[in-house]
Amino acid sequence: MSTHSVAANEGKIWDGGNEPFGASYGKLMMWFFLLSDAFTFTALLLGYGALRFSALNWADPDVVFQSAPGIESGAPLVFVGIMTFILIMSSVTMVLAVEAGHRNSKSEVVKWMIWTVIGGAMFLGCQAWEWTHLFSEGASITKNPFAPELVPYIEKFVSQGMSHHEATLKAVNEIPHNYEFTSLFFTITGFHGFHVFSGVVINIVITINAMVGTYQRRGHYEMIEKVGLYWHFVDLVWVFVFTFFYLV
Amino acid sequence: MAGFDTKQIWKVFFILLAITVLEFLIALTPALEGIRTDYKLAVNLTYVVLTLFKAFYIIAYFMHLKFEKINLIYSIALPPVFVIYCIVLVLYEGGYWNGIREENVTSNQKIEQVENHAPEHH
Amino acid sequence: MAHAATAHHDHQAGHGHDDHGHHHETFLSKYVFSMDHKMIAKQFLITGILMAFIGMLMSVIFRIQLGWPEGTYPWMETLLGKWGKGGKLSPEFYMGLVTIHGTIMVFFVLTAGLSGTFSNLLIPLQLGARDMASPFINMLSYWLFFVSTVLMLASVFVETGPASGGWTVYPPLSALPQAMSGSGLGMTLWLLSMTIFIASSLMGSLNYIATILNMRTVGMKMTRMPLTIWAFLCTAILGVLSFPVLLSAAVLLTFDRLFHTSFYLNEIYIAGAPLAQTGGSAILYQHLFWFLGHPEVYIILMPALGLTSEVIATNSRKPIFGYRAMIGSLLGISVLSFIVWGHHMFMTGMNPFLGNVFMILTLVIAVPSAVKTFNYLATLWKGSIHMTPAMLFAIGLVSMFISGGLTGIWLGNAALDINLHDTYFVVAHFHLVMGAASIFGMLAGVYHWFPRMFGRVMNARLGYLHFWLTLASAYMVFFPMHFIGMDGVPRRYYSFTEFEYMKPWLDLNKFISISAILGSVAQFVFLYNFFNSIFRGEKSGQNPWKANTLEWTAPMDVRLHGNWPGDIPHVYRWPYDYSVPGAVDDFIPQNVSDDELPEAARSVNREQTLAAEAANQEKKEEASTLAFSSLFSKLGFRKG
Ligand code: HEM
Ligand SMILES: [Cu+2]
Repeated sequence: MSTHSVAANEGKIWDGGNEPFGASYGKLMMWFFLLSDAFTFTALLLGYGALRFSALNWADPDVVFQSAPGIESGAPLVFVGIMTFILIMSSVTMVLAVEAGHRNSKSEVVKWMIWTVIGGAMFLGCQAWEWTHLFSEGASITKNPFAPELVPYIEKFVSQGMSHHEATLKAVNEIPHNYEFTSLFFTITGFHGFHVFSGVVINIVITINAMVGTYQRRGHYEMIEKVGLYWHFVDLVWVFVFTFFYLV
Repeated sequence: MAGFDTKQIWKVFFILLAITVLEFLIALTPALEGIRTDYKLAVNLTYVVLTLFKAFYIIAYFMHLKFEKINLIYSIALPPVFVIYCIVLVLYEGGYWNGIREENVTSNQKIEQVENHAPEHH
Repeated sequence: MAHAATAHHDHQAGHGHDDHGHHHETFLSKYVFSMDHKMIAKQFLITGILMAFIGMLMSVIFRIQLGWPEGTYPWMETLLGKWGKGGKLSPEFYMGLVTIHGTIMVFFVLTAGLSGTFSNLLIPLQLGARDMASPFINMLSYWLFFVSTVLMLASVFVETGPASGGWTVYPPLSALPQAMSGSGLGMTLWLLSMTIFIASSLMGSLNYIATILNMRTVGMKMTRMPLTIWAFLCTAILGVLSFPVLLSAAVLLTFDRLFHTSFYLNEIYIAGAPLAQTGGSAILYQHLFWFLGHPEVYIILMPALGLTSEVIATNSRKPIFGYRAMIGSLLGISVLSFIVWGHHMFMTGMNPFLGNVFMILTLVIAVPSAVKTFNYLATLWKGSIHMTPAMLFAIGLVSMFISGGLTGIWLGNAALDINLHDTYFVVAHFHLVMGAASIFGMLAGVYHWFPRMFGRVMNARLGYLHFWLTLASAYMVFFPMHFIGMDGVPRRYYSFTEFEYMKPWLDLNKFISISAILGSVAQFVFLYNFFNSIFRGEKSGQNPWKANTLEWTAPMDVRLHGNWPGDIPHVYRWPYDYSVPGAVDDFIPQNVSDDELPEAARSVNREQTLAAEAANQEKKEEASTLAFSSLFSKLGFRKG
């Protein structure tokens, strides 16, 4: 597909009848789509940045993201560390699939693609778990139990004999507070999660295609490469989300 | 094709892993607590720089951009300049809103004070 | 998805020559879900024309309200039902009409209708490609556009009325359903429609970029591409980079509406009670919106500029003046358009320092704009001008662009903008420079490439009538608005009778409204001409305007999917070899090689081209110095 016009005008790459970027139109469209999507995410993160800069106080990530399955509390950032690892890992298996594609090795492509799908699914599972956990702590898109201004109220309720958990729920439901943090968190990680989800679906589709030999017949595995670009991009976005929500 | 050998891939993976671990160390080592609070901006900038390193490795090696034609590299790498410009401006703007909010808070407090004290003066 | 497209494409490349009858084309695959770029272009054009008329009729209705605020018209009630009680347009619906008019014109007519039509038609044909890179995604792009227009029109008919906060849909008005009736379901539909529109525009733009980069025929260097293609390329790049930001803005706005977040809401009191949603910033929305919004105005204008370059060069029978400078200014405009969005926000309470940054950068836009204008004028200079209707409209664009661009420099000055922001002055500015200019460019394109689409020419007499009526009414409508605006009359007001100081403008407003109605009636001349010519127009022949570009070498049989029977022509020269001394004709199409020319033309031609290049370079520098010096004097630095 990428080769039909190259032969016509070898040599001067901008003279027409040629692919000046050495990439097929499909790959170019994927690249420029990702560029565009990068602007989408930047705009969201930009909103996050501006609102956080403008806020008078903000939740402390080390406190918010404290728990992993099995460890109730006191393990800041461990869980998100695992999530990050999984996503990077699935990026690695994706490159390996692409690399196998260049060698036209169907069985290896399929193997690595399956691993990639598993990695993506695990990431989504982790995210679901994390969200559920945050919900159980009273967080939602319009409720932010970690807002610093709630602390005195929570302490007051605790001193009236409530458990910390009950006190937090009461405070978050009754006291007006700034919930930009959770709004942004759920919106942006949700948007990213949506990308991961679409990625997993597309990955499944191309894995099946690879299995039934579609790309073998076509003579090249460029489709894996294009989808791979998308998948790495999802990983890339996560790297930024991770820094700006969990670290900074 | 250049850049796609398994060894290279794993090497990049370990680099990414190492950077992430480093970030965790900065964020969690108890001994650094003082630095984290006193030099918050510097620490945050460090995170950002480390993140950009990770981004570089993902884009250059996993997405293979480093081995594409130079034209493609430029056409992907240059447009984000606009984004950076936008980020700088809008964050600066966020800081400005923060100033306004703080001012509002203090002036509200002053108003409250005046209102609370008013009856005593009469 | 993409692989279906790929297969199709390969098929085209391989078997382009004997394509008729090769597919079994049904009515559906030929006219409805067509993947032929020429058919998709027509679909965009016809949808665009339809939307333009709808938008125009809306403007007639609210212009009647503005011209005769006390009048009542029984037909208004018949037409609008509860929105026209007692024969009078209701204030709510007035706002709705203004909003939907703006949205339709900006996005559906001048973005999709203009760029969609001509990018689709001309990119493959002028570059010598069989079709778009991905015909399938191209088709999808049109149908998503279609769905979004349907949704937008549907929103006009909902119980609570369409979105009513202006085409920029600023929060908090747009974020709070309780703020106004139009902020209910109508606004939700607006957001949904725009989201789909963004997807459509993205698919289109990606396709245009990939096609321009990869599908040029042999010999079609980037510097031999017609300026139309350069304009479409820059437009597509702007679209790819700026629409996603609007998407994010829309997502956050949707969440504010549906999930009660407060990204854009802060310290709002409704009937004395504070709103629970607080902590965000309405200015954030404006930053995100205008990061798209400003590039968007150039997304609208640039294709029109490109079409104009082509039409003016062809009909002056002269090489375009300053080909490289034209490309440079397109690129310059594109870059600048990403860094000046804040000039729409001088009055929002944005950080004043940013105001300075935006002001200085904004004034720099005058430079590439001036370069383009000078080059158009220089191309016309001493040309042997053929006043076809297309040429008239192209010159009309130049005129509108100058008139409206000059006021841009006023508005770009933050200190003056304090007075002029949100007044009719702004309305005058952007309707001239963007609205009228781009519509003129689009009409120039339609008259010029009509033969390419339908194999017939449009009636020239009706074309002249259409042009003069449109030109006159455009100036009669928008020019007086400058004065009204300078007097401080705000835009988007339902009635001018409430305030004493606005009353003196009532007569002028009547004049504007009458002119607007006149202008609208004139468009029906076009409509008649357009549809009549499709069926009964004079047959055009292969190359009616004696133009150089490749689209006129492809057979006019529009059913040929694949554009050229047999091999695709190769390209040997730039597209502007007009009136070359020594040549047989006064034009040398791009696919004619030097060997096919008479000896005289061959050598002279080369010299001529070189000389033209050198002159261009000179004039370019001259033009930019001129623009700079006018800029400096505007800024108050006077030289010597
Ligand atoms: C010399 C170049 C230009 C300059 C310096 C300029 C400057 C400005 C400024 C400062 C405003 C904001 C006015 C206000 O709201 O107070 C404005 C509005 C606008 N300009 Fe321009 N402009 C220029 C050219 C153009 C061009 C070429 C277009 C379109 C193709 C355009 C389209 C618009 C539109 C649509 C608005 C109004 C948006 C709205 O508020 O609804 N301008 N311009
Ligand atoms: Cu602007």
